[in-house]
Amino acid sequence: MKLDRELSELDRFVLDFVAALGKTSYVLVSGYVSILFGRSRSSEDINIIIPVLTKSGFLALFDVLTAAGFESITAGRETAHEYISAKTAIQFARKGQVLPNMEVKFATTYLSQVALKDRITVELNNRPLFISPIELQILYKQRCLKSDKDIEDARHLEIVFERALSAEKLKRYGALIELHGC
Amino acid sequence: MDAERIAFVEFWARFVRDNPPWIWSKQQNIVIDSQFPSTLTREQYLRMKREF
Repeated sequence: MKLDRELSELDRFVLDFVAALGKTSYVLVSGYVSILFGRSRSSEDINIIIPVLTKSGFLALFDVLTAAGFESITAGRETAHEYISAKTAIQFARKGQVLPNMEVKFATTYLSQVALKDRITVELNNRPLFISPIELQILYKQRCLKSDKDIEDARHLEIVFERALSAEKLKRYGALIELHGC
Repeated sequence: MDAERIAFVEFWARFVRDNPPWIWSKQQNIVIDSQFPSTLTREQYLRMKREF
């Protein structure tokens, strides 16, 4: 999928952050997926899922992100792996700033592993971004998150992608949510 | 859910669907970029998150 658009500060932050991840696999999920495709609302944090890493693997990534100009605003280097392993997101912002920030989580739930495995590529102004399948995002927001903001995000995606949504994927992801829960 | 609000969400989504990205992204960025840069300190932000 290709998308050529005027970039926002949020887009630039995301592009810089995922570039710093290097070869670490990732998938962008939740609000940013809707915002990327035009949803007009503010958002201070972006949700990203990465595979479960060992402590040494995660600390190596932590150091790479630090060298690239990002810093954790919620945990120090020594406690970060313990936090993220306990399913607490670690938030990274550009050094000296708090907004926007990237909420990094390990893929510990079944659905987050599906999002990572089935991720799709968006060429944003010729730079690749990996995002969750749109069908999974819509269902997750409607059936799991359910806040007004999430229902609105899902409705936005339904309309923008109404000619491109896969009925087969909607059925399959719906069944997975039913079976494995949120 | 507020009916007027969801009506606006649907109106804007149709605008995005029916127009090229360089048109809607300019308007969208007015909203997105209005929150940056933030003057919040790390402590203020984390306290706000905890309370939320």
